[in-house]
Amino acid sequence: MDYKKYSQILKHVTKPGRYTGGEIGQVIKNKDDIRCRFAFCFPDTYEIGMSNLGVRILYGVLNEMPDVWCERVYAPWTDMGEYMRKYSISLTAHESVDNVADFDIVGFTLQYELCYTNVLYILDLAGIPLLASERSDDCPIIIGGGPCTYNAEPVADFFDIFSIGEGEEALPELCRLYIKMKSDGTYTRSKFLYEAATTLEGFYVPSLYKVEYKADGTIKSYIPADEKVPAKVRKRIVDDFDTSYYPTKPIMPFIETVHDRIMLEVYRGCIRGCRFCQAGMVYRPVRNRTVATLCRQAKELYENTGCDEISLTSLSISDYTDINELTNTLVEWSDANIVSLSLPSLRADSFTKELMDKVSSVRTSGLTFAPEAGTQRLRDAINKNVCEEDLMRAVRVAFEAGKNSVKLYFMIGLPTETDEDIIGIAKLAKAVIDEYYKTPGRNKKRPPQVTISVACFVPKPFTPFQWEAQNTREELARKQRLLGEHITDNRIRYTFHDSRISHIEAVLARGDRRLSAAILEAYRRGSCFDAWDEHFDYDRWLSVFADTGIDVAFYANREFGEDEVLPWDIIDCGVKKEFLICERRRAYESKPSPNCREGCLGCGANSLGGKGRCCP
Amino acid sequence: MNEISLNEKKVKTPSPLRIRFLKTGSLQFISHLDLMKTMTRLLIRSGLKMWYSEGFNPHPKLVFALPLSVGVESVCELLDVRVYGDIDYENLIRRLNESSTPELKFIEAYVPKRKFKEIAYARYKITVYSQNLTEGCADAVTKLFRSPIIVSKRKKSGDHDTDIVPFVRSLSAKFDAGAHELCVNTVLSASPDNYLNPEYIVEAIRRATGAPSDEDFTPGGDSYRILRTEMLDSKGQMFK
Ligand code: SF4
Repeated sequence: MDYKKYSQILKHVTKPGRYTGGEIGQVIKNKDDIRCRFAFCFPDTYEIGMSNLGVRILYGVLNEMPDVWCERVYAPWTDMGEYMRKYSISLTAHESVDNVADFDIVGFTLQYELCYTNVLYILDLAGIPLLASERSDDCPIIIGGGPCTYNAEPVADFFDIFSIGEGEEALPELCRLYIKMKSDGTYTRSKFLYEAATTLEGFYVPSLYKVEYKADGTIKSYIPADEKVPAKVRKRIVDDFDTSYYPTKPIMPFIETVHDRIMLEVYRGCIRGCRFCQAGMVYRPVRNRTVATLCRQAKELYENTGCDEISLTSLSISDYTDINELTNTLVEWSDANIVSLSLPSLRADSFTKELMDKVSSVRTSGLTFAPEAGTQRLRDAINKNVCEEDLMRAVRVAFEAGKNSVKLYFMIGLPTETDEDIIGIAKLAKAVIDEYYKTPGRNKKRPPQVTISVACFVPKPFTPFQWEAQNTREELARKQRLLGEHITDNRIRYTFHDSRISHIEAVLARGDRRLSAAILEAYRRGSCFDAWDEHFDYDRWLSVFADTGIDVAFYANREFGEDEVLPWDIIDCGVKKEFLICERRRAYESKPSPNCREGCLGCGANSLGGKGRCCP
Repeated sequence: MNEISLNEKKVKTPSPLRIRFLKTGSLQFISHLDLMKTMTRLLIRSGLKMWYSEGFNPHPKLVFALPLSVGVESVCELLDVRVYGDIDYENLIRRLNESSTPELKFIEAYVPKRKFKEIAYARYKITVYSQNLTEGCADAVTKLFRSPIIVSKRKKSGDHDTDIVPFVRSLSAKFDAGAHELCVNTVLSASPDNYLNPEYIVEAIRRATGAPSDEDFTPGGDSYRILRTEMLDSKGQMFK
């Protein structure tokens, strides 16, 4: 935003540094050299968007192309949004301060379902028609990517095209196609979309498919416009992850962001296969980066940013094959340079004293583990292969090192769950307290504290639990109360997620195209920043669904049939449906499955390729 | 990259270094806390061998002379840091500027001779732009400062009605009718106990002239700019 023109407004909004840009490391190009201008939108605040690794990578990848200029756009907070409306100020991109509506391609990363209304908010502030069908040839192409595009159907009406899977190679190909068609004069909006869908891999153009429904409301079929349009869109992966592009000159935000540190992406995917977890399925197969590559990137990042904290980011970091070698090398180097190391998540079974000493985030703050379920039976059913012994050993290590607080994450409403499993959560928390008093070397000055944070299960596409019904809100509330009644120890702190949010999430996660009308109506009635508690309005969502003919229970609380055509069947994420069904069966038998390193279950993701993948 | 290790750093004694820089343009919207973070990173990138605090979370210690409020620009900021070894000042400034942006520009580095607590005043140039300003507005402003100006001043103990005039060492105003700009030059108390935020002067100007408007933010409409130009000691001499 032009700070001179709008200085009065900037002086009156919260965190004006969100809007002024000019950060060290931003990419500025000469417009004369540019043939494709790409606006990369993050449909949430600047602080959250700036922390997103995917955005950093794609921003870098696109700007490596000499004739493409990728810029950033974030959702202005509501106070700024109001001023923009009042004074008719159009949304501009961060770098050039040019109107978003004047770009060639406008991309959105869809990280969570609750950002959907923010996509409309950004399009609206930019003055771009909200519906793809209303855009003319001179409107930018609106493209979506990110985890939610594994079922993008609920937002299908707003997007021209989706990029499925990893975008590092796909997005440059799309830009090349755009530049080619613009320069040889063949470009029209519909021709471009058709070419992208039929000649490039990993692009889904919703308008090229007609959806038919059965009388009971389920989907009958997806009919491609012609035989060249793929019946299923296969996700893209980067073939050689170790050598693939990684941004070592990231933008340094001036204001505080959520994760303001050097991020190393150690590996992609997850070997575990927890049955509720979408990330663990859709990012398959697992591909590692080598220690040498990671250390080189760490040093470059340190020299280019001066940031003194390194965070290793990956789904389950301790599963990295060379975790010891990596942390040893980094610790040695970082000690000399006074850089601290942090890990986002640790599994109880791989938590050791050695690792704890190396990692300052563990040294300085609390410890968190995610057993997810209260009993071994249910942990086996969800394939969270952590046993009570592992957890007790891990907390003992922590207590011996002088820690006295532990945070545990759980989920309720999981398939096959009984009241015994709920009560098991309270018992497990109590066992951790008891373990504290059994640990001889504990810090006797302060009493122990165990915090349990309990989320609600949301069935997600491409997981073995994708067909499961979500518990009704009454049932979730009953379970939350039941757990509360069994927590009698005041050294246990109990917090739980708002089931109303999880309920809407479930509708949006498993929804089909008919939901677009409801999302649009919710936005029109004021829904925005739904991921923020203070802005989330459950009753408004319910009334919107009622008024637009959407049966909430049909999407959230109904068990989908295994033979049903699912809205996301149009996507091929590598993992086969038979595998998901097989895993679902094993869940019902409370049987865990080996992880990808112990033994391949033949999920199908190996067919996607990927150098150095863990698969046979 | 820092070449000496932690242990070596402990045996040598660090010496003080003062850096003068400006913080202008869109950087006025970056808070002091955020500036500290950026500054630390720029200093690390410059290769300067800094003294680090001990403990769980070692970090270099940066001391700023007079933190700027959000919305205020400055061409005279001072920062002290403790460093090891001989420093090539020009080279340091060049390296800092190479990795910074023009709105956060480094001017010079030197061994400090005076302490920050000797700072008593700061000089500001306040420019108000408005189509509604009329001839005589400059006089109206200077006249206003001849009698007490009571504002609600935020303190730790809550808001207090305070007369700001005793905190104003000098003030002059000039109106440029062609540019619709009222320019106020003022020296305000800046000692730790008696720091006066220059926004109060803008508030006083608003009372005297009606501008800048506090409600209408039409692009290209009323605006104002506050620029800190100098820090002064108790005798009114420039502090460096
Ligand atoms: S193919 Fe086998 S090893 Fe590869 S991701 Fe699937 S289950 Fe794991």
